[in-house]
Amino acid sequence: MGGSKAFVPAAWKLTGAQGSSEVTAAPWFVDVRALAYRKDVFQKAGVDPKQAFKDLKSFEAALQKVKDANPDVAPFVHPGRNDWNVWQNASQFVWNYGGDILNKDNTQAAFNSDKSVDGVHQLTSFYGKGLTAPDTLELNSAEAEARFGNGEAASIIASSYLISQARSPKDQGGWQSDEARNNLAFAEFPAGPGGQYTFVGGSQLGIFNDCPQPEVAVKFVQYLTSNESQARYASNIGMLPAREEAQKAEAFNDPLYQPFKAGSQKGKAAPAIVEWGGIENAFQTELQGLWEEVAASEGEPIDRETVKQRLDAAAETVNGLLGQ
Amino acid sequence: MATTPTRTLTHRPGIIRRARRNRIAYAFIAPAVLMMLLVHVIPSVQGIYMSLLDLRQATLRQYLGAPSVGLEHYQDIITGFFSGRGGANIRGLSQATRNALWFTIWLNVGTIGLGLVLALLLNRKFRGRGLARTLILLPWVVPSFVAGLIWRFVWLQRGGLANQILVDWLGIVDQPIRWLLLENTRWALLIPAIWRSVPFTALLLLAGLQVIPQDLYEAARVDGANAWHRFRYITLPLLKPSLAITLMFGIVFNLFGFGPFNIATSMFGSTNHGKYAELVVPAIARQTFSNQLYGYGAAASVLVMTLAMVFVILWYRVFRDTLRAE
Repeated sequence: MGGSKAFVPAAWKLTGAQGSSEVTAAPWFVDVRALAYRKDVFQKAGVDPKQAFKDLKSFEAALQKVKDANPDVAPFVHPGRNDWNVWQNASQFVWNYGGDILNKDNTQAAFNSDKSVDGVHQLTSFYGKGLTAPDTLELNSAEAEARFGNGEAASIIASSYLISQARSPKDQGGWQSDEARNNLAFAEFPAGPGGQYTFVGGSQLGIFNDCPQPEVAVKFVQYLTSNESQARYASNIGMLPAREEAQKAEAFNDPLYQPFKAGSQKGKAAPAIVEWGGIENAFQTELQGLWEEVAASEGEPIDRETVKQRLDAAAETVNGLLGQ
Repeated sequence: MATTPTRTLTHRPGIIRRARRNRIAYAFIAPAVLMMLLVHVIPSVQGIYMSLLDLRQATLRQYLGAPSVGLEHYQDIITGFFSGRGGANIRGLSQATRNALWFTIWLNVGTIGLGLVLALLLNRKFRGRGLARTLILLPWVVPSFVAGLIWRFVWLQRGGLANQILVDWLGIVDQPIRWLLLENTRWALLIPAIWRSVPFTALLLLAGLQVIPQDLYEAARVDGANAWHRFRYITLPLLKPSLAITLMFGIVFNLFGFGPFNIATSMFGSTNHGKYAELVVPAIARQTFSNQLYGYGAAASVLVMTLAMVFVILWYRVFRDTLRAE
């Protein structure tokens, strides 16, 4: 199938348990995150997108300008506690501030380190600073995307399937706002003091040990990981193919895909360890609790200490799961 | 002369003979007993044993051979509940227990109160009574997942029906209420749960009302009893068995069961229903299976099971005479 060089690096990392050289899965497609923004709204605020999305500091400054220039459009709409992207969204801030989910040998939580806390603190302080929609904390990802599609949001954290949503006719579930359709643009997730990383999810293909027809299953996996099949399937679902060659297919020539393609090279994913299920839940639960604290501190940004306490509580559970 | 005590010799058949005589009855109940053993007794015993083990993801391969921790899980949960200390899971479980107590009390007050009013109204003769009796069942037949989605649209901060009524139409409050966040989530869950439970309760109480002999009311009228007296001294006492059953279902289902789990999950959009709306059994399930803490989860389940049994025994003692009279 081409080995590690044929696939998006972050996807290839998930083909086997960390620390093992054994490959137990094949990458299928990748879900790369970026920031979607409205060109017209940013322009009205006099903000150069290149500068705005250069790093997380300039991004926050740009949101403030967007807010001042466009009182009817929320600068940033992000989901709150009730969502399926709670830890994924927070992790991008953690990574770009130089933190991580676990330490290098996956024996301890690292999302409560000082750098990680700084990252999560920035994300969770947008609400108190008035840079989000007032009801952003009760929205989920789909509702945040709908706000953008209705022309009520200047920027959101987005996945590549937003491109096909924007292109769909209005009567087939497409966006209702022509301004949003015509001014849609994407930027790579801004860099932070620790570098520039983007969340990369997606799907992997595997074959069970007790599969009755392993030869046929292998052939099917080979077909699903071929250039042609990956390009067709990924473009149908609005994701990117995990195979890099397949990303050169015509379906992905639209310039809107460029930030996602670039982001896929800077991708990070959840650590591929057997304890991940429990770790994800503990991390997610405390982040959800943190969003409740954010809601409780309405009108002022949440303090860093509260963020730290929540992440420490999650770390305590995670370290227990890791046998520490 | 000493007399020998006489013994009345009655013929008592032996166990084997009795079993033989009742073999058809035993054969009929055998499948049920077998199933009870397989799906109830054996898993319960295994659960009790698991609660004494350090069974989690790291030791899952050892399963029942996982290291023993004695009563440590029980100690952590019970001391955590009374002291407010402990890890995130223990604190979450303690909070969920308090939520469940609050929720169960108000749910039963609301459900039985409204159910009784509805049952009394539907027991009267009026045109369209059949249609009304059918219509009140609607909340009960709506799938719980759909009910949760409907109520989400009621509670939304922006554009939600509740805020439209309170802010735009009635002008009672200035700012939209954040129903789906913080303490308000309690009410956001309680109201749909009552809305959904009332039809069943009303139906049960209506059935109870219909078996009360009408001549009792006629005799009371002749004796000069007013409507309140008839309700207080005839309806309520004779409705007591139905009320007892309703109360037991309401408590067991919500305090010791999953309660309105599906409504909450689709309404909040997460299986974690939050600090103020998560009830005790959903919290145990989430912590056990998502965090993969099987020994701890088994201990928490055993505690809930024990409390449920204590409750049912108390309930039966309180209502024993009422149920026997029935």
